[in-house]
Amino acid sequence: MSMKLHLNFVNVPLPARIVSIVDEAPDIKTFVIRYDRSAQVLPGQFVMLFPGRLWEIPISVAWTGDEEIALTIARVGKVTSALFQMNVGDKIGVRGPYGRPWPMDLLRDGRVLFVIGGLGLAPVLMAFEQLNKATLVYGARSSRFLLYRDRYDRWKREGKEVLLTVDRASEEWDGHVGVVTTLLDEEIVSSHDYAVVAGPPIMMKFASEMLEKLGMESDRIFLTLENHMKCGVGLCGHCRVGDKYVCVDGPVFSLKEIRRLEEWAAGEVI
Amino acid sequence: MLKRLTWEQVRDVLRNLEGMGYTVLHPAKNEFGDWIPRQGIPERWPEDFPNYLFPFLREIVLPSTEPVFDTADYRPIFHTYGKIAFFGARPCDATALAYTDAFYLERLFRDKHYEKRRKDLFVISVACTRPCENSFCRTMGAGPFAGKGFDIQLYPVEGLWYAEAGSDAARELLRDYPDADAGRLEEWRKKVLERFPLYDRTKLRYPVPSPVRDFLSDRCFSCGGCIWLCPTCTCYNERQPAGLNVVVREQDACLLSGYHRLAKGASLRPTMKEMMGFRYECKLGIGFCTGCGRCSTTCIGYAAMDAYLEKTLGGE
Amino acid sequence: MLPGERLVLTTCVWCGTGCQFYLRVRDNRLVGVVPSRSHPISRGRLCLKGWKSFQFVHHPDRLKYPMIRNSKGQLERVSWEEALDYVAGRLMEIKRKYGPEAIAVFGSAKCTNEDNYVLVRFARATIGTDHVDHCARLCHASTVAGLARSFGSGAMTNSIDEIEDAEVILITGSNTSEQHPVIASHMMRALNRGARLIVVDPRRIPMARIAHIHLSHRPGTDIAWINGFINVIVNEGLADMDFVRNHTTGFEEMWEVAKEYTPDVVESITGIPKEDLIRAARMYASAEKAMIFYAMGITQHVTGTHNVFALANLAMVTGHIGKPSTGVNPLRGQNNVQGASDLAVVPGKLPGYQDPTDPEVRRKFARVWGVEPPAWKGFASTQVSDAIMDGTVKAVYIMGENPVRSHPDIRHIEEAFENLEFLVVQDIFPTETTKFAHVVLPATAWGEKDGTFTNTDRRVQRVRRAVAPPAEARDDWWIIQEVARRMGDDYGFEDPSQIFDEMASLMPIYSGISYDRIEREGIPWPCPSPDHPGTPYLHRDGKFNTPDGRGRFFPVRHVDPPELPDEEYPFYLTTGRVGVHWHTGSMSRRIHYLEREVPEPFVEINPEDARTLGVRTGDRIRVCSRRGCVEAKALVTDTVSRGVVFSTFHFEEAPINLLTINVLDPIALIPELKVSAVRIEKVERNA
Ligand SMILES: Cc1cc2nc3c(=O)[nH]c(=O)nc-3n(C[C@H](O)[C@H](O)[C@H](O)COP(=O)(O)OP(=O)(O)OC[C@H]3O[C@@H](n4cnc5c(N)ncnc54)[C@H](O)[C@@H]3O)c2cc1C
Ligand code: SF4
Ligand code: FES
Repeated sequence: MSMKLHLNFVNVPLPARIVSIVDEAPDIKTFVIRYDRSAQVLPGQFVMLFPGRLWEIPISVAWTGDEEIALTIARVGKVTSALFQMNVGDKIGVRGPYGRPWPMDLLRDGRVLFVIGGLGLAPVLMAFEQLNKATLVYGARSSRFLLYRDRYDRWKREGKEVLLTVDRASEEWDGHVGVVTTLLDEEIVSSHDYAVVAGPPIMMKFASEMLEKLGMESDRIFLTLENHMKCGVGLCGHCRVGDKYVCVDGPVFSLKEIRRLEEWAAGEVI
Repeated sequence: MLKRLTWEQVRDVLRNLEGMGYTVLHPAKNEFGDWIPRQGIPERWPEDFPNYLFPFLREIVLPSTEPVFDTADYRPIFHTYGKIAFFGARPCDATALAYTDAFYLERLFRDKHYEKRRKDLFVISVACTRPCENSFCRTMGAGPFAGKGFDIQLYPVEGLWYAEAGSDAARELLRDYPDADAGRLEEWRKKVLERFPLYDRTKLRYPVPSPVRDFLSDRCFSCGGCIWLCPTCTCYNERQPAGLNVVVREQDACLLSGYHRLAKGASLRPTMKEMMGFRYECKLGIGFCTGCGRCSTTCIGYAAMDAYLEKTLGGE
Repeated sequence: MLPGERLVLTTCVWCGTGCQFYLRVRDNRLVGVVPSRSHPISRGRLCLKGWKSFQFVHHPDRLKYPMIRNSKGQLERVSWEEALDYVAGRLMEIKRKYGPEAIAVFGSAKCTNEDNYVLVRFARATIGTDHVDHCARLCHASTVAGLARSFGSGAMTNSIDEIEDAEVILITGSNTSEQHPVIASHMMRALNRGARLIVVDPRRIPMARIAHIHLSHRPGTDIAWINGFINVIVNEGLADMDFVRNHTTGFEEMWEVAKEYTPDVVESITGIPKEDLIRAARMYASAEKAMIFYAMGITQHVTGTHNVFALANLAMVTGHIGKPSTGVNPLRGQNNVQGASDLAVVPGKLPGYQDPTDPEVRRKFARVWGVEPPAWKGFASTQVSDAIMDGTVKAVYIMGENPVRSHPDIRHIEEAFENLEFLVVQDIFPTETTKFAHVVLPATAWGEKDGTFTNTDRRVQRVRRAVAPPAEARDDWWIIQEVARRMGDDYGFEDPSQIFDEMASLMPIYSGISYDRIEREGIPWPCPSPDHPGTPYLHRDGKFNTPDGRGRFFPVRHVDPPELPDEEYPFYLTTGRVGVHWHTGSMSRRIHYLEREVPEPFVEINPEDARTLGVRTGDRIRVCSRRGCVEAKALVTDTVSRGVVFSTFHFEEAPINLLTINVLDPIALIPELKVSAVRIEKVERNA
């Protein structure tokens, strides 16, 4: 089957191969996949992944290499469980990259505060690593769930600040304990020009509200939404919020944009 | 281009289309009294044809289930009905087609499955002369005459058929027929238009007033009928059906809780009220409603657009 | 139709409403549904089950080949010849050894009338047993028993068409919008036309949310509130005493009892505030046309038959019977439970509700069947497990049922089935019951066969074959006929219309109906002659089908359910269905959109109870009765009142009927599935 025909059909995956699988945390693995369109991936974009059965799911690209993409995936349901049964060398279907990336041109202009929870580190990893003036405030359930631990020292060497916290302390943990918003204060917010927020929906809600309260304007706060997505190309309708389709108009939005969408979607008069 | 044809000449046009490889479909009542498209060239135009309850035109370009690729080798699969000349489309459905065209072909990604089938479709709409059950097409600007979405639109004027061309192919087909008097048509249209109710469009907008939303939500039993029959509802789901080595896409309905469910059973819109809001955002907010009235005909709870109209307009 | 596709008009396979729609067929596969605007019941409306009905038909789990259990205990594929010879041989052997009474036969409300008729002939003529029953035992046995005695006919008295003209609609024990959505639709239309709606239900079901009055009574106290209605109506002079005098008997005896049920007494038994009771009773009585609808909430009780008597009393007291848009209307659950009952897939009857002890009737059947049917009365399906355990029944032949999951007290029936000498199961999917079978025979599914269904308003409608069955699956009637032939009894049927003609010739209520007549539109029975239009409503002008032509009042008293909450088991458990699933789920859980709506078992619990127990929606809870425990997710909702929990029997993972109590209504032998006492525990997850 010629490649050309494949490209024509926006909802048919391309065959790719798994080159390695790394255990990151309990029920979280990173799959490195040979994919020849990796060079096109911009920070914050996602691909649609198909484990050879069931259906496709959207997964953010954590990092890219030479003809490689890495995807960090949590096992939460049917398709992710099917992925967890796959092995190195298996064929896997990939489409993309898709979606509006982080506004890198804008972010390069200033100091960026990353407020991240759990798996939210995956979609911001490329952005964080590409920026010079960036601070990471990162929280996870417990220390075992802190992702990409082998990179923290390098980031610090590069002059980036890395603040970590866990919800529940364990014996080997001597750092900060508490949800990620407990690390935010006026000082840290005022010393940054932009904020990037990613993580579970509840965490994003509280973190962005807090940032705003501490003085960050809503058009300087950027989030990535994880809606239900089926197609990734703006056609299936599942990811719609208000009049925007998260897969093509997002997943990255400013808080200001999200506010407008929510208002529109809440749609209450009287 | 506006032409004037006799019924026999209309049939000639259909014969020409057949000669070009099209299957001609036209409205016919089946043995059980339901309107279903029939293949071939009709003897006469069925005056009493309201519209199909099922949106066959949508079905041709966007089948409610179709295989899209093979799970073994990711080979695309392409389902088609072949070349179809759809004679007797109602203006609301032609307008709906224009909406789905814009959605599927004129945004960031073009849907090839849709595009290929659309290219093979020739639409001949017939202007309406009487409002059909539950419809409010005039209010939505989709009827009784279509402004877009057709190749040819026919008007049954004084025993003749005025033909308006909407595409180059149609202009070619109609070239040799005598020109019609646009003024006459305008007069006819005015007369016909008066028979169609016109509601206050400004009130038919998103957001839905909260009491109306409560009313509709209490009466929605999640059958999905309004969506399965909506000529502009295009949301779909993709999955591999048990036992088949293909991924199909099938129409999905935003009034089903499963549509909104996320991993681990969480939902973005856990209540019927939120789902109802989501639907109206799309139909009236983004503006995909043509006023064809099918949802009202099929709604189990009598809580579709007609109820919406009645509740928001308060009996106007 | 679109090129490459065909449409086949058929009747829905799920509930008893009897909607019709077209199946879309492409390349011998069902690909969709097109509603029929012209059908008098559905009128272009369908529920989600109807819309997506076709999807189970092609499921890969379908049974495709006959199988016999081998010496290793596994089911092994065999040829049809071998399977049929074996079944016939074993049945003859058992009949010879123990007599025909040792064989019980289960029919199915999912199968066609034709299938059931052949099964009935097989049981009563070829085998010679009257142990014939089907799942109606579990839903409307009490209706058949009750209404037959009160009115002389155990079916819905009025038709669905008439609903829209009703002035008052009283729904009790029926979650109509979920179980019979299109009937609910006709009710919604009536409401739009000004009708009033009264819902009496312990749960705040969707219809209750839009009702003018919702009375929420304690589970198992139906007789009390119904007698309370009668009490108010008679005392306030709202009764139609002319009707009572001219068309009924037994009023005095009934009143002797009902007069004790004053609103105060009723309030103390049921928990219904007396003002509400009085208001509702007045509303029902003072309407010109008032219809009563009920379903399993009335019938699945030890007092099931008495509950039905009570409703019949209520309708007669007010004269709301024998006229258009009135009556007592049981909503039959299964698509063809009416038909299966009509065809006497129940013990002690012959097709058409004819009496097997009547010599005239016996002769009529003997002329066609070649032998006289048994004159004794067989066991109800709910008695069969006991009969197996005590050695009376040795073999069971099941067509299209899953008793191991649907019957109460699963453990008991499992034990019984293990003790069977011979079990034949004819079905479309492997079920909990096929696990016990010695022979499994693959049947054609709906969509693959021709025949008729009789819906809840007695309308006999066509079902049509749209696609070929998978592999070697065969029509149920064909399979049975082949077994019978090998037992020396040849029926000689070549197609379902022949079967229909034979059964219609034996059943006066069907005798005017033929395939030709119902090609376009179904006909409601009784239809005694080919020029008779059918009968939309029964008991016209107060002429009942009882021997003396009068309706009968039966005095009934409230008795406490066999098991009430106590300190150890403080909650009422009541069971039922959700709109998107069907019974044991073997079909509906194989339909993607239905499964996606409700993918896992749940237990509804009131917010206040949940708070006390520290339970939130999504938490796992364990529900235990004296008979066992099941685990499911909690769903906190005000749909149930305090002290009541609700769950469904759709899920293999949480077979709720493990908990219910195997106590039967003494008249109808229907089990108490609606009330049992349970305790709730939160399942703590080890972190
Ligand atoms: C832009 C974006 C980026 C993401 N990035 C990541 C990431 O980097 N890492 C990560 O771990 N996760 C990521 N996610 C989340 C991830 O997509 C979900 O966790 C994943 O879809 C869960 O799939 P599942 O099948 O395992 O879960 P399930 O809970 O089994 O199903 C998930 C969804 O599929 C639907 N569904 C259920 N059954 C069917 C069926 N039969 N057919 C079709 N649909 C069905 C459900 O309604 C539900 O909405 C991202 C999501 C988005 C939108
Ligand atoms: S209401 Fe009943 S008969 Fe009608 S579509 Fe639904 S399940 Fe089928
Ligand atoms: S995921 Fe399909 S429209 Fe966005």
